[in-house]
Amino acid sequence: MTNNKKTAKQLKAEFEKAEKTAQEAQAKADAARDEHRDRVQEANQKAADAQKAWLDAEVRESLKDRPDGEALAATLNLGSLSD
Amino acid sequence: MAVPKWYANGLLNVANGAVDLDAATIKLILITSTYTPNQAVHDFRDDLGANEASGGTGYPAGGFTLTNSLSVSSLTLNWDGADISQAITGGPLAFRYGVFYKARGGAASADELIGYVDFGAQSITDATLNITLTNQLTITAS
Repeated sequence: MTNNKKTAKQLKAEFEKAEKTAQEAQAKADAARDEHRDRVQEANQKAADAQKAWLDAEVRESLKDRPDGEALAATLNLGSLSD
Repeated sequence: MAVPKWYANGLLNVANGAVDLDAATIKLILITSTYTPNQAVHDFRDDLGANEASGGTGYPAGGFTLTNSLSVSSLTLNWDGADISQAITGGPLAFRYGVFYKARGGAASADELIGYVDFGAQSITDATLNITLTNQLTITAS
């Protein structure tokens, strides 16, 4: 079917229907994106916190056999190695 | 801190949505001075070569996981990462560059580079590594 057999009114209605479909699809995508963003931000925060805890634990372990370990732990704000 | 620079493809990926600076898992990897940044060409983490910093205890292979936020001030879009403060023992941990990339959890060839910062030659032994990330990568409207 060619468009020149349709009236302008019919073509406008088709456009409006197509545009509405596109906007509804966009709204769904936007909502999904917002939800995804919240989930990823929360997960990233947990991952960053867990990484910090892991690295600090490794550093503390690396100091246990060093004669200057306690002093260095204090200097590096890692608390006492005996805690 | 020195002003970070965009990789051209990093900017493209931000613009087309492949990298969501507000939500992507972004890491800061420390790179030695043997790497030469190519802003126009380098696009994925494998372009960094075998130049990741190492030495001592406290630096995680692959870099630090960041928490990120976007904000607008006047005409400038700012991307911030949380500051890093990490004790390093032993060493030296020697590095010059910090490179921001999207970490996908797989091959380095899949991780998009975003930008980098030149810290100058750094060497840390039995000390705290402090990196302040305030208003890092920016885009300014004109």
